Amino acid sequence: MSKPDVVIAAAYSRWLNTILETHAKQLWDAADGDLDDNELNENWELLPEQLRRRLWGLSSDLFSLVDNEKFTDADWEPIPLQELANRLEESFQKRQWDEVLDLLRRPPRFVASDHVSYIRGRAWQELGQHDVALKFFDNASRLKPGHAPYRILALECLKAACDWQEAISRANQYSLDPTSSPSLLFRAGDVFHAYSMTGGEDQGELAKRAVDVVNQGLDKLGTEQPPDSILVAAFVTKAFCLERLGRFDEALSTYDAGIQQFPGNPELLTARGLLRLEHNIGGSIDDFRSAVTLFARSVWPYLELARNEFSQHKYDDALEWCRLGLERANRNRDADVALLFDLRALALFEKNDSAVAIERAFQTAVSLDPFNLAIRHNYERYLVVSRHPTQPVSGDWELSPLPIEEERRVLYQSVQRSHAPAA
Amino acid sequence: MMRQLCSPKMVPKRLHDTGKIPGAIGPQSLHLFRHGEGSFEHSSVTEQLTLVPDGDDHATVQPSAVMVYADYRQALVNTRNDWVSGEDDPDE
Repeated sequence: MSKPDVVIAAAYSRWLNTILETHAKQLWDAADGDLDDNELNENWELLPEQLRRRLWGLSSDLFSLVDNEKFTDADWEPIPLQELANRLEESFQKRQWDEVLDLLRRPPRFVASDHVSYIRGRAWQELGQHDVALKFFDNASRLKPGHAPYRILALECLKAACDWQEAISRANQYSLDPTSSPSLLFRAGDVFHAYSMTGGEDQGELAKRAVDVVNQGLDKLGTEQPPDSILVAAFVTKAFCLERLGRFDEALSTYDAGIQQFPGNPELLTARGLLRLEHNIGGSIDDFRSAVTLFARSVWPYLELARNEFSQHKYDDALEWCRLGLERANRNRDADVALLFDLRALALFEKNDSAVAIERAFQTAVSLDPFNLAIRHNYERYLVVSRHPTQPVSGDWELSPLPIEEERRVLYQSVQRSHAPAA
Repeated sequence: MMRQLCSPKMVPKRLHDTGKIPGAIGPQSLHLFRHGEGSFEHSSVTEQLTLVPDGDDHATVQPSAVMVYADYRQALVNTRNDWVSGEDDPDE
């Protein structure tokens, strides 16, 4: 009988940690091994073949960290270099990470050793094991010292694993190193910002540090032209931190500078629109319109524009923004999409549209975000109004204030994620 | 075979160093021995012991009949002189 996934996951996790620890402490030289650990041995027997192969492969690959990697060519059928290259590329594109890791061990081994370590790191990152990925990115850095993308990827792993002590330590180290590239400094700045968002102490100090380190990078821009996505992310990091420090004008100037350099970037326009929402609603709406014209992937400009039209009783326009938002925006966050369906339902109701369409929109909104009290209130109010059309109903629709902090957090993450440095 | 059935910690690390079994991280105090020849078939090892395959390339040595543990253990010890180092064998 097959074991439950959770049992296999626990056994896998235990073996992963055992292998990492054995390598880190070179436990093979210890006089008393843990071969008598029956539970550990039984855990191995629980693992399916794919995971056993992955763990054996990891154990073998980890020897590359101490330049003691070995291969048994007899394990593999000969394969022409070009075919191996094609299969490697195809597996990488299809995100078949076990296959990628296997192919890297096959002869002919034509990929440079630092790049092999980078690809292994990417595979483990995608498999969700950031602590393992970190080891391979650090090894890639060892083999190609000073190469910023490897260090950046290591920082991303430390952030993902919430190892803030090490992440901050490295960010500080990079900020003090005169040879650090702008890209690396920008991502170091993001580490300070990300840590400040975890709600610990000294948030203001961390935000200030983030601004300083990003500025360091901006001052050095002549030495390296980072990828656009990294530079855009840097502007957003700096502006977010300035805003959190209450330095509104400086935050606005930062967005202005970013938009001047990247006028076609919808995320920068959306971020500036959110910043101006409370101070300059006209400018904010202009930014959202521009962002939408540029096919923004964030749901917020569509939602803000739709809400703006709704509040002015322009229900057709509100519906059009909702339609565009549902068509174009990234729909991987149900709670955000629910807001568009809620507004669509309200606009349809105000237009006296069909009850079926209104009902469908409300039901979709509720099913996408069952915990949103404003959506539930609107749906329940609609049910009362539609069943007793002649009776007056107290209260109004709840266009609750949008979670501005949440909007910014989601937008920030989308911008930071999009850079995904290639080595 | 080894990599399907045993964990990396069940194979001494020196077999990694020699390039024989990459990834082996077992204690160096471990040793691999071979006993007998041929494929894994249900057969008699000694009068008291029987080879019972549980796969194409793996088997367990079991008592031929019900016996006390000490006798089984002694029966295994009695085969000691027939063991030879298997660390130079090809990995199948």
